[in-house]
Amino acid sequence: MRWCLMTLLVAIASVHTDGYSQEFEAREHARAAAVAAGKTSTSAAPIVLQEPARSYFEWGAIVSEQGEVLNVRPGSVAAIMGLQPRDQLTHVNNKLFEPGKLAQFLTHIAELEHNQQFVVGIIRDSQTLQLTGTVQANVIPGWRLEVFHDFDEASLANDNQQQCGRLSVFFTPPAAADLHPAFINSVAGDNVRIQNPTIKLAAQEYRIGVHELIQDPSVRRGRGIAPEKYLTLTIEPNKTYHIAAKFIPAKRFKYINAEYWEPVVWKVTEQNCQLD
Amino acid sequence: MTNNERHLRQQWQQFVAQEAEQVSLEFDPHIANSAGASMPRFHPLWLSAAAVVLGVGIVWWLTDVSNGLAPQQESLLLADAEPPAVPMLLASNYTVDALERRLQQAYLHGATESELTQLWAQYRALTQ
Repeated sequence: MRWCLMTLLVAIASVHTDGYSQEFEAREHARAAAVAAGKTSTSAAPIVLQEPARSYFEWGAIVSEQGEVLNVRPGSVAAIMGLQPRDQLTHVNNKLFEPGKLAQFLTHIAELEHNQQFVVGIIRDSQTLQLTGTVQANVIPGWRLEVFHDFDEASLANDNQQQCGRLSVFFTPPAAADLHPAFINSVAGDNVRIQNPTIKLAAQEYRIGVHELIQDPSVRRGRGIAPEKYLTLTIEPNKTYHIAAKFIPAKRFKYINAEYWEPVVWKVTEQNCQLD
Repeated sequence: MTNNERHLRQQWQQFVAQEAEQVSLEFDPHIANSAGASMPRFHPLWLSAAAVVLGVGIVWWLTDVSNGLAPQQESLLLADAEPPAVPMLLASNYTVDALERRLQQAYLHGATESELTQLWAQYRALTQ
């Protein structure tokens, strides 16, 4: 019983770890995609790329123009049905493979439907074989990528207030000091636009809600929406407060109350601030 | 009580006395016998017997099927069963899928040897 419980806990922990390493990988890909998309336009308008969900069937074999199987990926549908490199295709579902007409064969494969059975005829070592497989289609979820070019600052200060300062998450803090990027989610209880890297505020004390963007795959996070953590800060005139997430390695496994990090001001710079 | 009322009362008492003499209670022997004959068809007993027979039959049938004594039912079930439908899943490695597609398209469109070599190098790097 004890061993069963321990095995179950290890399995849950591994699933947990896989989920976060995949999220880490997804974020890295999204950053790379944002940079690549940003290079495609010179205008200041945001770039929006989006696609609906769709399915596709990749059977895992690469075939030459003459119908010779060049490669079979282990674990793929082609591999499961027994296809091997150097097999010579003769037909698929009673449709003959004509050398030089690879497009017809690929079109027929692409037209198969999910869970449909299909038969591929081959010649292997002078022997004719029929291999049966089942289509296993994959799905690409719908997605949307919005890339902002402007680094405009948002202003939460009233016109009748004379002195102001700034909060900023624009500069990447030094990871060598366990300082990681963060974003500001709320100021004095009001939600702010996340895409604005800098926020102009009247000079006074604020309670600032911050989310961490710690770029360390070893970080364990709790499930669900991560709660923001708060930083109380007095904004002084003409100063910019650079916000970061301070990673605490000793508490790396204390993710339930997000004890593994704290919002901090990692740098304060002088910068003239005027209200419009 | 007025004279009129007294007279009416006297008339009523005479009428009641006259009617009371004619009242008699009679029991029809046929009705009595038929009521006694209906007693054996009392419903709960009949239903109880049927319920017991039905219950025994259901238990026997279930036991029979679970013990494999009705192979014809099982074979029918197997004949009707379709292969389990596998749901569509996210690709285990979309990057490899996409690269395979590019490689296949390269062969389809007669790519140069250097293009193929480059694509195969990317493919090996991802899969080995």
